[in-house]
Amino acid sequence: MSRVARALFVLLLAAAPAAAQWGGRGWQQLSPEEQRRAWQNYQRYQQLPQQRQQLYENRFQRFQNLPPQEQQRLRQNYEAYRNQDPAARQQFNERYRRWKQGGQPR
Amino acid sequence: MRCHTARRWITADLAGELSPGRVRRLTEHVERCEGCRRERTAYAALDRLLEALPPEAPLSARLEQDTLRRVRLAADDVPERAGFWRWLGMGAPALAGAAVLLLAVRAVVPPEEPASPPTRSKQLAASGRSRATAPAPATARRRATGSVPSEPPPELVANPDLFVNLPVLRNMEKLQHYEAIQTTTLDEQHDGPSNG
Repeated sequence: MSRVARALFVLLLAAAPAAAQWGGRGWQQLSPEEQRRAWQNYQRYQQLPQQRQQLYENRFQRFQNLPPQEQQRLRQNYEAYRNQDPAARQQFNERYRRWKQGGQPR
Repeated sequence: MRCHTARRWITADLAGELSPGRVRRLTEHVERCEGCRRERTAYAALDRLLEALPPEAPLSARLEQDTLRRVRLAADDVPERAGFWRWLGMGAPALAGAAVLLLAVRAVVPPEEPASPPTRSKQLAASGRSRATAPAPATARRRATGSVPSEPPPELVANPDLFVNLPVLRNMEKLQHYEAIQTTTLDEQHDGPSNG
């Protein structure tokens, strides 16, 4: 029995860093630049209708449940998306519309 | 700063992607330049309108059936007519339907600034911030967006990652399927009717 308990303890120790990575960070763990962005986004968020806020909260739950690699992929895709010039972004959004019309899963 | 640059930065600023230095330079330019000021106001209004749109606009079954019935009646009524009159016969009900839809969308989407929604004031009151004043125009609100306060609101402190990642969350579906979307061609699906 004690061997099982010890094995569980070792397993917990091994899983702790991964769990910490998946959990949310504290405010003080954010860089000044991230704090500034979070503050600005918070102000925008406060101006959204409740329905939209709820939508983002649900998405955040889903986002948090994604593996770290997938979260990183989404952030990288966002960087690529925002670095597009306005014409390219407009074209991407047009492609997105078409892609959605094609009956892709949500 | 040139207007061309300013106008590129306006959209980036609205998406919260502009550095503080650029925000300052943009604000200075916009205060002097009426054209860019108009542009920013228009973009901000559009941004708010898009944000206010529900994920799926509700359409009443009655309105849908009524519109379809009118189109069917019009189609049955005009097979013999040709040219302009045929077009007019088909077009009028369609235009009427479009007008009704437009009115329905306007009823769903608030035209400008929503008049202090209860949720917002409730949340602001709960967080104890003095910003819970009457809603101001987007430009004025943006100017109030200064540096991070020494005591950030509890909501922000409790879940900072939500707000750091807000732009990602806003575009989540696009980002999840980014590669597939990039490879979607714009021409081939244009001819046939959509599946959605």
